[in-house]
Amino acid sequence: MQPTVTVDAPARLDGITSGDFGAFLIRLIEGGGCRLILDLGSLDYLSSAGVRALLLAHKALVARQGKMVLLSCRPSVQEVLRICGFEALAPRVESIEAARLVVRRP
Amino acid sequence: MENTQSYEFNLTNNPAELETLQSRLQATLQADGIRLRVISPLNVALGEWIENIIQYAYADDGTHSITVDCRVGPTDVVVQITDDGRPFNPCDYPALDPSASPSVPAGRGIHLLRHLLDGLEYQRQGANNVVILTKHLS
Repeated sequence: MQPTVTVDAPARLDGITSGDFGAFLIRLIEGGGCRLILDLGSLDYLSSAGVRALLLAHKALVARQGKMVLLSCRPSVQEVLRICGFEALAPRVESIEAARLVVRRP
Repeated sequence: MENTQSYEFNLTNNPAELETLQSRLQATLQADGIRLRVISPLNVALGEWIENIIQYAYADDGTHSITVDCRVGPTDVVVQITDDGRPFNPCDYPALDPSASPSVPAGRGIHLLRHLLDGLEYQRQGANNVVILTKHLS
């Protein structure tokens, strides 16, 4: 079974920070972390550059039959994800227990 | 006459200045009693537009001024952003193709501008682009 990895997003994913964070996610996924719980509890600013980093990570996961779950998403971040169509790609949950269940589901 | 508060902020085309500007705008609007439900989308839209200016507007590597005027009226917050870059009207930009690959920039920033705000206007005034972002208070 693929390992489950939990990653805390930073407070801000913008044009400056998204490149490094996205590259970190891709390295993690390519290293085998294909069941990814992304904890967005600290994230309070998400720009289109951040969404693009998440889209690239999701694409890399799908190519490896992996899965991404979003944990603890603030309303302002949720709105950006909804507008960019990302909500349809990764389920959103409110507890780590629920995240573990959902990410392990086939 | 209706009471309107006005604030002016200035920055240059240095991406590192954006977060400070957004923090100042948020603190100013919160002090005026504006709710985060209004401030957060406005700040994301402001950030998208300024990142767009910094990335695409200038033909040279020099320092350029960007001015942000904010007016808080009885029903709206209106943010006007002025830059001296090449003309670009975000209202004319094609709609986002939802199937666009994440590997390429696809106009997600402009898409966010259109959907986070209640109003988006563009004017070319002399050598300046003026973009006006409007968010209703309720």
